[in-house]
Amino acid sequence: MVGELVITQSMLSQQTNDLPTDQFPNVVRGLEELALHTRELQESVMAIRMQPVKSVFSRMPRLVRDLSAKLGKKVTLTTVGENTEVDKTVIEEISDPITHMIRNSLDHGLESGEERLKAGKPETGNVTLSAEHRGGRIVITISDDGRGINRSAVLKRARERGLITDTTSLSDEEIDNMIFAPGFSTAEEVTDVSGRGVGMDVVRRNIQALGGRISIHSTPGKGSRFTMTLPLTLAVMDGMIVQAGGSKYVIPIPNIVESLRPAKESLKRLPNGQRLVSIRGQYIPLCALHQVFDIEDAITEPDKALVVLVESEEFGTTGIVVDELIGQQQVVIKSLESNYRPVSGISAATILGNGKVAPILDIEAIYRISQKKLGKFDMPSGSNGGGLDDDNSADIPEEIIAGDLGSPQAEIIPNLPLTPRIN
Amino acid sequence: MDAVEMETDLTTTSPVEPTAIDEALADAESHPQGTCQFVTFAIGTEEYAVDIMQVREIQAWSEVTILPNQPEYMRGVLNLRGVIVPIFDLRRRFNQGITEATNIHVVVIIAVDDRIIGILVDRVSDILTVDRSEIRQVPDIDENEDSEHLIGW
Repeated sequence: MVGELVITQSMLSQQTNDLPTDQFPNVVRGLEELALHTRELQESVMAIRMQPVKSVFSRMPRLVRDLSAKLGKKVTLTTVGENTEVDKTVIEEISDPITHMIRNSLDHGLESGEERLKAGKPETGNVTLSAEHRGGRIVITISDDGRGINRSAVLKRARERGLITDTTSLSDEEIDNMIFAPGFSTAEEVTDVSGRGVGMDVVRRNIQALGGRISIHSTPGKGSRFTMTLPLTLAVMDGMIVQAGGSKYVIPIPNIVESLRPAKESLKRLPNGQRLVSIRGQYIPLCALHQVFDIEDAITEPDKALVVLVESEEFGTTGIVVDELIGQQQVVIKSLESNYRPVSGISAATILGNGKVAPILDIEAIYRISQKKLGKFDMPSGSNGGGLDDDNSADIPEEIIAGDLGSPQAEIIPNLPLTPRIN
Repeated sequence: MDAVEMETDLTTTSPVEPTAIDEALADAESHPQGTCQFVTFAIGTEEYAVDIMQVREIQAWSEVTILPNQPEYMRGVLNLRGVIVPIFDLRRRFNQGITEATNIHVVVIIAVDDRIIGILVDRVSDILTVDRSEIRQVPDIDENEDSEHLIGW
């Protein structure tokens, strides 16, 4: 309801934007006040909806107790950050994934008492469940000090199931991520607790449907850590409306670092076609929205377009190339999945002041799509060497450029190159 | 009555919403007796119909928001009073080319399962009252993709 109010208010202010103030002073003032009050109302409604994750976390000790008795393992559960607050709609949705992952940790992750003693670990296993706010999102981690992911078993099972071919070689990280594949289970037998193969893929799908992400970090013999990142609320967020070609898109404000129009001299291009922009001594990869989404009639030259620098845990900083910034606005999040299906690169949609739908960008997915497109582009040409360095001069050795990628925003050098800031 | 094809779900290829198609079929088949009403609409000269109970509303074509990297028959999404509704081009869906949509084209909003979708057609023709027994089965000779979307003639 408040969401609709926010939309109507933004529609009103858009419609009356160019109303001359001197002719309608009261209307203009009234609208400004309306904007202020709407914002306040919206914020207090959101505050009321915020609840500590305690209500979910407090159910877990019992689950752990029951399960540890059933499995004959000694387990201590530690919860951290129970008072972290998150929207109640998110709370309702995270309970199942957390339960599932705790079960997994106990059943697959932790070894039996004897095995632990043999491995030189204390008999009692540890599982930690923690929640914290980070960059406008909530991060929930579930870690255990068990055996970690058995990569050879995962690989073997993946080959058996035909998920990968026998010859594919995968990095450790890629193997770990196989556990998210549908129908995957390494458990030898089906038990009450797990092994049915409807597991982590469902967890991941549910989390993605909420606009979240899940990642795994595992060290053999030391344990595994699952990290879920979720939006704080499923209702509204602050967004930057951008334009590419004829379409408008929304970039979540928490992701945005800055926006700029790059100078021609600061643009470079790697042999594989990846464009870079040099900002304060750092090379930041660019992904052009029009390429990722195949948008026609967009501005293709980055020095004529705008670069929005966005930051993410997954890949550090990257620049998204768009035509224009339209403005900042609070947007109401509407799901695409409820009537359609997930669209890659888009986390949800919103309704703008003019009643039109605008997609909300999932910047991490966009980054992945752009990397994939580069890969495809690179492969057939094979040894394209330096043939594509037509941007300017690619006189910087590649290793140096690569070394700078993805590193978090480093030192700020006061005497900036010619990159006028826009926002 | 000339051959009117009874249309149920026209959404998408079967991987997306197979359950929706199945349930719509089951719905229609579970009440073989009595009469039922259909909204008929046309693409070019071909007429199709959909169960009136599934139709939520009918509106003129308006500009949609295009989603990236979607099949051609998925025209984009529309804001229907705060709900995001995907619009499918029925002509393209049945492999008869893409509809050059103008504001005389019509979007039929239908509820399939718990989803709301819109289909883009040339025009809405009539409301038909048909006896259930008059609905003939789709001949099963053509086991092609399109016949999955039809429940009878």
